[in-house]
Amino acid sequence: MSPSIVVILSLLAFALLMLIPFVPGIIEFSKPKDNKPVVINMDYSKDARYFGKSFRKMVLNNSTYNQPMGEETIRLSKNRDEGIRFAMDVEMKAGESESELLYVTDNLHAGNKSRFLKEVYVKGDCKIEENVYMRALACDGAFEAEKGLRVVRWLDVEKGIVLKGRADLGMSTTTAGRLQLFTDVRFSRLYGNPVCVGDVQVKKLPNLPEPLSYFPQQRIDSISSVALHTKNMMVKPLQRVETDVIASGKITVSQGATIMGSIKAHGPIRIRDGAVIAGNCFGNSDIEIEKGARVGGNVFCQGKLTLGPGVVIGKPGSVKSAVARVGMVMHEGVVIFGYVLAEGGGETRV
Amino acid sequence: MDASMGSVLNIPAAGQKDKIYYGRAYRKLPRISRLHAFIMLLFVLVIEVLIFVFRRYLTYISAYGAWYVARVIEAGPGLAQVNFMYTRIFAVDNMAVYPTAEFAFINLFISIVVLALLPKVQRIGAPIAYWLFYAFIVHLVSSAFFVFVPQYFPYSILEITALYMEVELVTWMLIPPIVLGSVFLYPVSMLGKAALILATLGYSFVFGTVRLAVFLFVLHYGSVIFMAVLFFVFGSLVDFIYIVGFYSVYITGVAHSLAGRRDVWKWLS
Amino acid sequence: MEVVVLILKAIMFFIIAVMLIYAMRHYLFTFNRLMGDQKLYYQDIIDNDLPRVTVLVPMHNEEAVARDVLTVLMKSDYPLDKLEIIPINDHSDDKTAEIINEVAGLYPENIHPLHRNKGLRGKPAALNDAMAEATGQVILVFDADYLPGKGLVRDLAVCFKDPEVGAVMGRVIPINSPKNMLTRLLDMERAGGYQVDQQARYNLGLVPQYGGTVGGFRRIVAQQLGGFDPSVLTEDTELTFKLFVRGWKVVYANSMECYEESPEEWDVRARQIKRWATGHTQTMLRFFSPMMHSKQLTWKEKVDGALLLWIYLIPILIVIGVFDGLALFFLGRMTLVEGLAFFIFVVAYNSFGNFAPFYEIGAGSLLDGSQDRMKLLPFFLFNFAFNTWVISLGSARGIFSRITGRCVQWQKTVRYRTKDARVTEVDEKDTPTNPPKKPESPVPETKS
Repeated sequence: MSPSIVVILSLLAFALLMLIPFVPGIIEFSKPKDNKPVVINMDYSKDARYFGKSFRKMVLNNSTYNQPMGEETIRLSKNRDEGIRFAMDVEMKAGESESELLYVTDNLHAGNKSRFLKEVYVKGDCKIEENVYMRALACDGAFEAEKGLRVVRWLDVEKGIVLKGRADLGMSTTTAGRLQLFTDVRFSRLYGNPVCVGDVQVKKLPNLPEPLSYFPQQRIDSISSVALHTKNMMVKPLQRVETDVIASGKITVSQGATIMGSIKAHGPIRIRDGAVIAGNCFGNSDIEIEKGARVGGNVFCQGKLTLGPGVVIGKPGSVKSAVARVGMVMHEGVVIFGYVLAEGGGETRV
Repeated sequence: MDASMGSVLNIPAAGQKDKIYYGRAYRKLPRISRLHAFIMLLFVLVIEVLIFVFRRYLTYISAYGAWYVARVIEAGPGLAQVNFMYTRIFAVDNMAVYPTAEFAFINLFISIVVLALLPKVQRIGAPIAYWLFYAFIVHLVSSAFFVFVPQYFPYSILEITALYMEVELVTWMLIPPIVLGSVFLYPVSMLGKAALILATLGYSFVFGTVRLAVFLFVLHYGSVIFMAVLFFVFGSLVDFIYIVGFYSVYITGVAHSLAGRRDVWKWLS
Repeated sequence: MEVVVLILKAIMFFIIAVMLIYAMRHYLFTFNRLMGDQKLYYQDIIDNDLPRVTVLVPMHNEEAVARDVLTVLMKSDYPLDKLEIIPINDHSDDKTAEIINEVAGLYPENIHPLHRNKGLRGKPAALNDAMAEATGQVILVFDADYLPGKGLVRDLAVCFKDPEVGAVMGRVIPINSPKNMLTRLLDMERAGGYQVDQQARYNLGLVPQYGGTVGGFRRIVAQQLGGFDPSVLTEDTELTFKLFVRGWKVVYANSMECYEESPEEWDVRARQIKRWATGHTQTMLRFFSPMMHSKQLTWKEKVDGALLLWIYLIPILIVIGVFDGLALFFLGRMTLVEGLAFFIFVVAYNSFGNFAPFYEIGAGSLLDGSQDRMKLLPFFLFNFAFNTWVISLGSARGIFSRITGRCVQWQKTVRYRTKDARVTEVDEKDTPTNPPKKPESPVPETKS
């Protein structure tokens, strides 16, 4: 082979070896399979009761049926056509199972160990006996369940929920009214006005002081100008702090102390018996709020949140949130005005 | 009519996004098992040991391959050995061809003209223009060197190919940890990761050999005035291309394989 | 001669060491984002007591996009009695002023235009003037090419319930990614930079960066700390460090996503990153020492803050490294380490800053659910020379402006939106609802 041919072939081989790593990219660029922008839901708007509202809308928009009883097929989403059964009063006997979507125009009574394998929409009230299994339920009336209820996905009720015992509430349980839980309930998201554990008399709650403005107007040089900013903070019993408290370590608010602002700690937060935080409570670690303590604002916790007996978050007429990333335990007597989210799972205890 | 904000804004819908079950903001992957980590680290260690043990033979194969191709050069290049890493590795020796003063001056002139004209040439894409800019800066320095102080040029062909083989050998040793580092965390088959490392390594070996042969041709037919460009533009700098190229194909495969795996994805912690 | 060689080698070793530190930093970020515990942003807080918010939209010759951003902002679910929007017409000589006035006429209670026809030009000066007129406790900023979704204002504003939060930053997603190779690369770079880099810094308690758009800050704090310096080209980086040095935190909201238009031409991109480099370097020169001496930052924040501040000087180091290598080469003192340096340069170069390394981009794209775009990763090599040179020029300009005290001119980024993508009106009857992030929706639906 002549030298010039060898040289040319070598150069071609070199060029080819340089080019080969680009070939998949060249193909993807010339015949794109994945070039669209990542989709943002432009209509996203926070709503704790999204599941229930969305389901109701889907059923009501897609159903053309106008008889109180019967069946039809409705399109619930792009890829899902479902048969739906319409009924007036429904009395599910013990151990019975319903495998279709169910639309109840009046009341629903579910006997022991009955099972609802698809979504249910009840226009009236719901009375649920022990150990009932349901996938998801929307109810325009009131909802009451005995122990052993298991919800796989969600439960949304207009006029209040009472769960009388052990329950597993799936991903979301919400109501425009009062959400009353008892012990041994597992949950992820709760929303109620209020959410309470046990038989709590909300009207008897004493008034909370108005929190400080979290946008102060005074001269500001650093964060210490507007907040008590320390490493670890121990607020003494019955002490009253008239500012926000921020700690790079832990915060302990002793018995009966009052903080007029908000608190934030990068370490654990402990709010002892009867202490009051007028503002919000933010923790990058665990937060423990003990018996009878109150937080007027939101509680947000990157760790585990423990709410002792009689803890109150928010106040009547307000909507506040208790959010815990790792998990949440609520004891009897806890009242939360608004939204509860336990990403790692939550439970109620005596 | 769907009158959501997205549709009104004419935002195109992305495809293939419906196979992962948690919101993208906080979804994550599980940690790989300790056994998985141990085996992969052991695999890389074994590769490193093998490269070290056979370093002399690897350089021999590569240098021989380059020599075999480049032996058509009239001057007749030969294999040579140099000390490196406690052994004698192989390189290629040849008679160095030096540029004449005229040739060096022409190269200097061309470099200056290209550098002056590059900003005015709109047709070349900016990234390519900047690469050319870099290459011609290097060549400008090299040409200037051979115009003004050619007697001080410090390298023989053997010295530069020896340096090339040393860099190649260490690059081969760096590839396994770099490639493993980029894919170590994915909870997918260990065989795939091992294959990626071996494929990248194999490609590097072939690429390095062919490149050395091309270097020998360029240095012979073009003279050592091109040595700087070869080293600084087409040297270890371009080894990055195939490392990322193989990684890109691999990660695409990982994305496809994990997309439908509901059991794999985690949320928050 | 030996001394010269020694110095050259010392410089080379130093540059390689710096590169490796940055590469390791980004490997740590990738590891954390892929497998570490993810820190939640505050979007799950539902509170009926929200602060008054002023949204600032700086505009200079933004006729192509001005109407869109104002229209979508008025579709926000934020309580209208607590929402003020100030579009800032900053010396525009196109139809921006007319468009702003026209849209403001439709919403006189909420949109209060600010027309600036004299005084200093540029975003920092415009923001200062607008802040002086703003009534909101919280300021949110959107550049004119951004398209904020319905719930974005609420979710960004709610974080200021945390008394330590000084500023918030959301995630930027290019809307024009299919356009050409540049937009596709920028789209992936954004995925690495936000999905991985910013979230990891938030997870690790480091220094997430306020990016000047899709974000906001406390008005009183920003004003009392002196507002924005009109001579600094990156007011966002300046505010980030101003806040950190004084004890406030910047939080990153990975779920708060907003579309932007990324540059579609390389020269536009060059101007953009040159401006970033200049401004970032100005900020570095101003805040490096105060940051290191601040008692408000942890040692982790100081290390990350320092690495963040120095990031735009890395290309200058690479340029120095190239010439250092050339000098060693022609002195006949090129050895293995210097030979390998260029390999390390490239691997490590692709391991810093906004310009995320290949494994970070791969991880970000994977987490986003992308499946084929990663094949374009090798094309990032073409950015090497481009970014190195452009950023070096920008950083050098920043140093020069600091030394000479000369003010650097603000340069506007070109917009590409066409009329057929213009927002006209959004139908109210299609009531939007939010799909919560984690759980499944009532029926199987597209997850994104």
